[in-house]
Amino acid sequence: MSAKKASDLAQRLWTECRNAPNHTITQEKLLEAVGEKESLCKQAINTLLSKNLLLLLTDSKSGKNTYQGISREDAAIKGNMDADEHLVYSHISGSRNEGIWTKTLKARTNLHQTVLNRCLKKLEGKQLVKTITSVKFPTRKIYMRKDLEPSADVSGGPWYTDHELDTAFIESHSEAILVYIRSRSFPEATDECSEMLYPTSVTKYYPTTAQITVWLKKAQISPTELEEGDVQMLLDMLVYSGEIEVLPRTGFRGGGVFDSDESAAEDGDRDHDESGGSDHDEKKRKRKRPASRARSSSSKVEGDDREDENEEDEIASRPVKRRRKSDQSKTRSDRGQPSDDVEFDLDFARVETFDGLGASSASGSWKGSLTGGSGVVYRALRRERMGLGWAQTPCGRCPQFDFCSDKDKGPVNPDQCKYYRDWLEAPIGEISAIDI
Amino acid sequence: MADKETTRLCIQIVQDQFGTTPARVAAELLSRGRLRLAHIVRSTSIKSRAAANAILILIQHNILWHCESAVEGEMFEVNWEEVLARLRFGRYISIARDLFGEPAVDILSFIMDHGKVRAGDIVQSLIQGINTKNTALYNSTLISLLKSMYIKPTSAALQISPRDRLIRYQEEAERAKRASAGAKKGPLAAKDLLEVRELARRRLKEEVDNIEGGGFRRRAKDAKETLTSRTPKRQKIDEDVLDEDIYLRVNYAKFNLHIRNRLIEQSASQRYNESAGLVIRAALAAALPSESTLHGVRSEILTMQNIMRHLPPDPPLVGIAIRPSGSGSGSSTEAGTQALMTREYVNILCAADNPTEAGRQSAFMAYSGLSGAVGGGGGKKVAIEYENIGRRLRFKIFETFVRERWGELAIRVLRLLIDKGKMDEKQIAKVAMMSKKDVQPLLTKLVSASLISLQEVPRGADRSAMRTIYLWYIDLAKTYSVILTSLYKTLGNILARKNAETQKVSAILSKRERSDVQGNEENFLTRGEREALTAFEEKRLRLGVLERRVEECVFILRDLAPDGYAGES
Repeated sequence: MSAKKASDLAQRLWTECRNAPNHTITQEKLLEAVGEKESLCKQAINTLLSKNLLLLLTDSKSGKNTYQGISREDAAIKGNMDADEHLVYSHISGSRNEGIWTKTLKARTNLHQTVLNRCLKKLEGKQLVKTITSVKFPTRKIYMRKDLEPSADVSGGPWYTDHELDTAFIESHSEAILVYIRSRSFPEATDECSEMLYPTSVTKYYPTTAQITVWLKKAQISPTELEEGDVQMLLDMLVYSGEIEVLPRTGFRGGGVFDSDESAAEDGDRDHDESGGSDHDEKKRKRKRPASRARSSSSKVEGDDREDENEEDEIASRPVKRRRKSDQSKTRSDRGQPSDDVEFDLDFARVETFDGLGASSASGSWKGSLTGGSGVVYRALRRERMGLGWAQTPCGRCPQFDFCSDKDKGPVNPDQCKYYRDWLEAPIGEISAIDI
Repeated sequence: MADKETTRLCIQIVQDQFGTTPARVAAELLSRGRLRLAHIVRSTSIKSRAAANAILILIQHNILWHCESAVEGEMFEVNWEEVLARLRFGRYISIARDLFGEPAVDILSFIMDHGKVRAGDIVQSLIQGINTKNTALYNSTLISLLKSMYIKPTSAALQISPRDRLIRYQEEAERAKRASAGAKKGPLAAKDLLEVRELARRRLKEEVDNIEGGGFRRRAKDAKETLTSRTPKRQKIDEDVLDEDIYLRVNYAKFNLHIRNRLIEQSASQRYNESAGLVIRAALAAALPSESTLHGVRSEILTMQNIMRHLPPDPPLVGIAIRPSGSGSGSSTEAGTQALMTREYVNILCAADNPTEAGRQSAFMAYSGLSGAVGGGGGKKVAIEYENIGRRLRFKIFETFVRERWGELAIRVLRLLIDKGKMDEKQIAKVAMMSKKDVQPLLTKLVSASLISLQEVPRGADRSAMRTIYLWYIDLAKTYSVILTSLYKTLGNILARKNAETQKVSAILSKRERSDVQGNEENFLTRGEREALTAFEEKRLRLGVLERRVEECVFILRDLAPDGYAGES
């Protein structure tokens, strides 16, 4: 066998390995693939192994030998290392993006400290490894491969800048999220009422974590992109701050459960009626969604608009039809309760739902990301200003409150209190400024 | 017995309203517990007659309980809650004005001035100098006040501390139990003891109910001179006539219901909107007639119609983004819209869209019955969840207090601790998304304010600090009592300051009181004096407003938790 042929075979074997998924292939498959004599192949494989171009692994499940193809560059790097360096490098490399602490490294490699230090220095000199600092253990010296980025665990995720918790970043993002949730939690103010509310049946239009994540990405508040888990952390924080509340997405499905003047028999009837009604509502809502979005999008097409109108007309007429039909079929007497059959018209409650799917919504097959994601939505809370009385008193924020006593008992007393004097002399406007 | 700050506040109130001698007597009783007259005289070195007079005044104003002990003889004890209630008198009068008009204000002020008054004397004393035509009006107002329990009869039995009476009834019941046939010798079994206690409690309650529920006498033929003879209209309606010989006093509990209802309404309007406030007000009004104390966990069960009936027609309910469809078909009349809105507001107030535990805790009302609200078949009736609301309001006070003093971050940490229980510093920093260097000083501040506590969990038997885990937790019951104490202290400070300000201008004030100066201030008072008086009036007004606002916080923390903070979480 000529040398050329041998090197050819090695080349083929190596290529097969590199082409395999994960650059890893079992021995059997490799031999099958090249279709040469086993002894020849083994010889070639040995050559490759010695040149660090292949790595022999053992499959943990089957116990079979597998080979991993190593790129030429990596092989060249390894080729230049001595045994200790190689050992150290393999451990650092094995720790992936978590990094490895020097002490652990020493324990694992069983090398002397000076040897280890020399190896690390050399590896650093070759630009193969780097030291990083973990947010968890800021004092530890941790090594990692140069070409990798530290994992979120080590770097602290997006919340850390230069290994310190970036509170300004957190604040700005949570504020932005809060503003978004607020905008989705309350309908626009009307002339009649400046503090509008959504009915209990439309909870599914409040934003979910997934929607907030998508919104945050689109809003581009900062170059750092937050994942859903990160956003969840911010949301939890906001819940603890008492700014928002979390509620199930299912909502409340009983628009008009509240008729105690009805007899039990009629109740049964109406139950049926109502459940039909809510299905109908459901359809209506689903239908309406694209319409509302089409309108909200900047590129309005005339035709679309016309379609919308038609659709709305149709919808508007539907409840009336239905009622007429039900009245005929059940020959119900007029109960003098006009509210009984009134349906909620969610047109009024239209929510600018952000579905995160962008253009696909125009197709009419609206699914939105509401169908995915977690089963909870978030709603902003209006702040109650109960018990402000105490907060308004000078005592409420007095630094000497604990020392304060009666006039005859000590120098700090309400009779000569400076804070009270200021408070009493301050103009009314300034007093109300204490309000939160 | 009250604690230090409560004592201080009580003494200040007595001082303001009754003067120095009663204040000294009250101070002695408050700081030492129940005492005999001889003890009071000895420790205050007030003359025996003056002390006795002071005690009489305080008993007349229901501030002292009278105790007859076989061993110690006659003793007195301060009912400090009664003293603190005096801070609310202004509010009570204003409520009475809203409900019954000016005559009720006169009657109430008269009763408040005298502590307790014989029923027959009230109108007699009031109409002196007033147009006699008003007698009928005053009489009818008095009767309606009594009927609706805004004032209540009292008797000598109620001057004895209820605890004493309970103990006595327990002893009597126990004796009866022992004497009964088939009783075993030796101590009573636990079951019997429980029964005895229950018997005594029931007897006490019956006694109080009997006295306080009375006040009327069956109309008899010989009672021709009774008040009803002058009010023929009443005569037709009322079977009973006022018993002139009973003593009447103000029933704080009934007025407290109004204060509570207003707070609940305010909370609902702030949390949702004005219309939600209207709906809850209607519901509260519907539930009010059946209530007499703040002790109820929830209201009686209300139907939708019941709530609707109490809704004012104007302004109409607005603010929910719904409207009945099919307008123009004639079905959506104004009444229909109102009904629809009410229903939806009830849903919102029941937090129907949030059936989780957190949602249930934050709800103002709840559907009654197991069927719940889902499906539409059942759950047509609701009840107002007073206990829930009280808990929420308390927490709001706490939140406002913490926010004012330590900022938003403190709220975050405290709510986190309430939600998760015990946590260590690292966990807090992680979940609250705060840096450790922010968390540490904050926790120290909060623990020094007694808002949170520290739990040590040693990892070894040596209990060394290095090998110990420190967990932070919050005990709301303890926290609330700390806050309540601070509130009492603040109230005390406000009153002290008010006194100090009054002292500063006392000379001018007494000059103004002179008969020749009154109505002639321009001529007799110098410009400087007039300016000082104006400034003083302004200060007094401010301090008065402040006092009432702080008092409102006390109301939420103390009166809305009539059974204490047990099981608070």
